[in-house]
Amino acid sequence: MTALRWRLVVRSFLIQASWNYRNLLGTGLAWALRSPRPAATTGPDGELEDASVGLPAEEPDPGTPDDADTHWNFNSHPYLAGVALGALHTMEARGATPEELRRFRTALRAPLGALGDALVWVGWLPLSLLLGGIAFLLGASPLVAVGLVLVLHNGLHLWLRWWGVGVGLREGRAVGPALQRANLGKTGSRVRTVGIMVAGIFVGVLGVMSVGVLERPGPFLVGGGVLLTIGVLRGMSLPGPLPGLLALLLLGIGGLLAL
Amino acid sequence: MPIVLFRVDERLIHGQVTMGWGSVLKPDHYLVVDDDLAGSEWEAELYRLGVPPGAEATFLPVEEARARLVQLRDASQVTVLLTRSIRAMARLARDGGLEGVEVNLGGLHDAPHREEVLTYLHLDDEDRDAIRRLLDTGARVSARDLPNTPRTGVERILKSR
Amino acid sequence: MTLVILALLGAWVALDGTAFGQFMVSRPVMSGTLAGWIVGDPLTGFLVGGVLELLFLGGLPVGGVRLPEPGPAAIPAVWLAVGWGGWVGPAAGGALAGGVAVGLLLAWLGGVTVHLQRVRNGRISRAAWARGGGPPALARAQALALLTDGARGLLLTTLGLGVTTGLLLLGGGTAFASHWPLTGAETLALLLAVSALSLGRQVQTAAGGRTRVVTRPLLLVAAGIAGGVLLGLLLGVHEGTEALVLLPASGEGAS
Repeated sequence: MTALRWRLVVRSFLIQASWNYRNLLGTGLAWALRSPRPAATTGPDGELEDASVGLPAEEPDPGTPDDADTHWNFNSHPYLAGVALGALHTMEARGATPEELRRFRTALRAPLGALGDALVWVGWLPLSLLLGGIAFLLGASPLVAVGLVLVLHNGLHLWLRWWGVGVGLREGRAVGPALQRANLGKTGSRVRTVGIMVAGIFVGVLGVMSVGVLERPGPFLVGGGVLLTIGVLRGMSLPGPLPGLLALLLLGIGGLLAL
Repeated sequence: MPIVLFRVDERLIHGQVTMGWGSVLKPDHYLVVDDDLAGSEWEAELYRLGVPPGAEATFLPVEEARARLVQLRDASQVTVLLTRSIRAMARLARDGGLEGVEVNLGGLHDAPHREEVLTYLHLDDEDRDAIRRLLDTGARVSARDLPNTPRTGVERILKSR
Repeated sequence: MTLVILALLGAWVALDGTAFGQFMVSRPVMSGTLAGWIVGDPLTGFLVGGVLELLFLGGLPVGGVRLPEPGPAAIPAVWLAVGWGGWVGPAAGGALAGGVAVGLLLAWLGGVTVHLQRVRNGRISRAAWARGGGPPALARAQALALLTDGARGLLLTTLGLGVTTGLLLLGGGTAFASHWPLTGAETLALLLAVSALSLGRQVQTAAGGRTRVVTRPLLLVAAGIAGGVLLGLLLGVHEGTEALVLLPASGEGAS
């Protein structure tokens, strides 16, 4: 079990290698599941552990051969893709039908994306980044601050990969209730609430610092405050590149003045 | 406006819907209209995993959802309604229940006979027929994956081939 | 030699974004600080990368939506900023402004190349399935996609480094930077004030899901700000910190 788990965890790091608009990470998923075991695991160790599993899935590919790729459409948050890898592996070993495997894949891509986005991309990652920023503002060197972010973020990251493959392998098709018990959704929600407060702390410390450092901090504080409020009130209805464009506009005006 | 979004998205309840649209629309109810899923508890259970804490998800067959559309629209719950196909949305709209409503095409992946309209939207002839049926019921149709990305109008969606 | 290392860093950073690992060295504050460290000025790297980080915050990669790619872009941005003297130089404001502007433009260009890569990956993966989808074909597709993505990152960063090196060799560049109308601290403050917009958006996204009352995230942020102000005053950050003691400002933060 452990050798198999390691192999799937390692492959999960490359599962997005061929991420594309046709089947998203479907080809990566098929690669991670179908590739034969490396030679080393045919030794006594591997045979003991993996004799019944690890064989390529014999799934008939519908449609023309050209379109076989889209049959494998799958997506997931990369850190949680191991849940699918493990579960599909176990389902295949237990003799699930191709139709069952396909429906399972289809149903799983949504929650693995939603849970990962809510917990990692909108939760833990910004929180880690802000904590690094605060550490810097409070006197940590840039390298220490960045190191802190890497350690914090990847602590959860690596644990999620390892845990996910394990849950998948153990539960197979019943991975849904197991994920429910793990309460990732609730955890994500708490992490995001803490993240919002920490964003405030970051702004507060920055504000205090600007009063000490700038000759005329007023315009910057007022401008920043107004923009922060607009950002909070409008949220995702603000166009994606707007902050960057605004910055570029101001830099352009400054550049014209410099010329 | 108790049903705040009518969306066609094969992935149903996923990050773009819960974090992207969810952060703007603040729904407390996701209604998935799908004949297969309404009858399959283990699949519905997987989709429920993506529902944010505090919100709930219901799975209804198309016919039942159509019969309850008025009641759902008058409910106090703020609902995001999702289907996996344009055909299902067109069946839901058959009696004119979506008149004046904007249907959002948010994600249909590539498959045999489908061609790319936008990176997140692939359509075949049947899908296009379903869009026309939707328009005939008085619904409006446009494509947009996230609330802060550009909207693509139905003319361009139907024209691009 | 430094340029070669920076270009290779760009390749790794580009791969980290999607194709391999996702350890988040692809965040601009990471790649910027690493680039700064390599050229001997991690502080400038951190500040340029940090500003880009905040400006691009909230562009969440949910469901593989098309996004700018600020990670590799931060590397030439830092190269230019350090080349114009960096944060401790006489033209700190101009150096910071130039670096961030280059970083913004390259991030959008990078986003376009990411999109093209994904289209190309579609063809690579489709070809593997047309060949039967056997394990060797799939492994080849994965390797080919990985290789082209790495090459993309390498080329993109090299292009950025080429353009910025050209700007550095241009005699007027340094003069331009020194004519920049704001001090380093003011420029940083201006850019941070603008990035409050994306920070606010991120806050609202994080509060999303269910909270129907828009005041809740505002109150949480306000509580955080109050705490941050208190913390900042208690720890005396207004008098400067060890990391920022080099601030070339005219206020009491300078030393």
